[in-house]
Amino acid sequence: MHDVVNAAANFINLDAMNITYLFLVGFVGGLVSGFIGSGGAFVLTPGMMSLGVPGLVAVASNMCHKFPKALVGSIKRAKYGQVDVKLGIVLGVSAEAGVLYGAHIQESIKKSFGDAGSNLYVSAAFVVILAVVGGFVLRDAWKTYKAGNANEEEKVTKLAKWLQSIHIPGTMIYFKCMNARISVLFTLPLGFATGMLAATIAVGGFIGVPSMMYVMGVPSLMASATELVIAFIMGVGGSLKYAMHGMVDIRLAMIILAGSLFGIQLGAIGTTYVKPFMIKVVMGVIMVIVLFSRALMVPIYMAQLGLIQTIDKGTVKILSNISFGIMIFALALGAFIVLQAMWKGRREEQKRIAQEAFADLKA
Amino acid sequence: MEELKMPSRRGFGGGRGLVLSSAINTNTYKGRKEIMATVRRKKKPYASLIIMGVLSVAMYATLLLKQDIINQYFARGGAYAILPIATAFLFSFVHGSFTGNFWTVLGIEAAKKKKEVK
Repeated sequence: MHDVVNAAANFINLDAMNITYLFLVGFVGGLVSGFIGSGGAFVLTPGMMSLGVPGLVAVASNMCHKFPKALVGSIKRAKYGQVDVKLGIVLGVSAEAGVLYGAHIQESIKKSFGDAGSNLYVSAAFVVILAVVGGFVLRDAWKTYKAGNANEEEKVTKLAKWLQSIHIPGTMIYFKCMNARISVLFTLPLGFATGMLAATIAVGGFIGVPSMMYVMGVPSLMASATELVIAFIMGVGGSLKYAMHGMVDIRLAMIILAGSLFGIQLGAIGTTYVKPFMIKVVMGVIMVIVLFSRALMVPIYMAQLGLIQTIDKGTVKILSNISFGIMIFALALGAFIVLQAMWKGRREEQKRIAQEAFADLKA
Repeated sequence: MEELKMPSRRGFGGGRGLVLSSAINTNTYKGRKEIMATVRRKKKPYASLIIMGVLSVAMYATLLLKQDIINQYFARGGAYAILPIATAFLFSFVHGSFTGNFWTVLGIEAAKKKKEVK
């Protein structure tokens, strides 16, 4: 219980500025989450730490806000017919195992190499995943846009078609979002990887959503919505684990939730106004920009571990601030793209309804 | 200028019949608003918004005014872990309902499906 006493003593004092800041970041994070199924967490955790919240308390409190946010978001998107609950649960269960294993790896690295080692591991994971997956997602969105077939139904990838065609007796499950059966032996590693990434960089959806889209053949709107179910399951498990060690600062979690519940509902509504490839655009843009943010921190951690020459404190501070600024920018830009697409979609819809109504009245 | 009489709930000629000009320009914001005002009849959840809003504010006020006692119990660990989890569910229900109603009352709702072309 020693860590419990320490954690409670390390809960920060909240003033009006902190509360407003957490509310606003929560809102923007929720908006992006409601749209792409994930995101926000990678800003929220460092955002809380910048207020002086200890790392573990920040991660724990973020988790405790994540699962209620995901619950509300998934319910909202389920009303629009975008959620495959069965797929969410199947992936969520293996994701939970991934979270536990990922957390175990984190703890081992921290024991062996200290904070700097742990931070380097996290940043390296960010850079590799965001570069490979983010680049792929953005390239795919760009190809769709250039080909001018954004309005057409999304094509199932060859990989997904191949995996769906493999019949392994006793392991096949039908998922309505794919309108196909797939072996659970393929969903297990995908869910596990999602959980591991969530435990490492706090955003499992950066593997979860693309893997559902490109590996399993789930349409992007349904993939991003179903990810919220996975996030809920991971969030409950993770929160319970941290709460048992007294790490959750419920005030931080609920203040962020105050903003994010406004945002996630708006983001969810936004998905009904946009073409499906916009999910890929927002996700890809955020991932590629955050990649640069984390890449700036890699030399700092390498220097701390003695792998490269020491960097002076002034430079470290500048790099850290720029890194944080880029992260905030990534989230803000994602939110801006969502709101703009939604605004445009609403105007077109109102025009269409008005014209239809007027035509009916004249008839 | 041709005028169109729109049937009210009580039928033509009775109740609140609305008269629309066929010169309405649906390409302008004003024109669209005029049509939408006659088409939209869905009741807005004002009562639910106010009730959930009051509850939400009360819960957040309690959270911030009693934070010392709350932190003391919620950070105890062990079986007390149920406290933050249950609180999160409660906030998600109350505040989730409030925020949902908030956007609905503002008129920001999901896109309506397109009419089928016959």
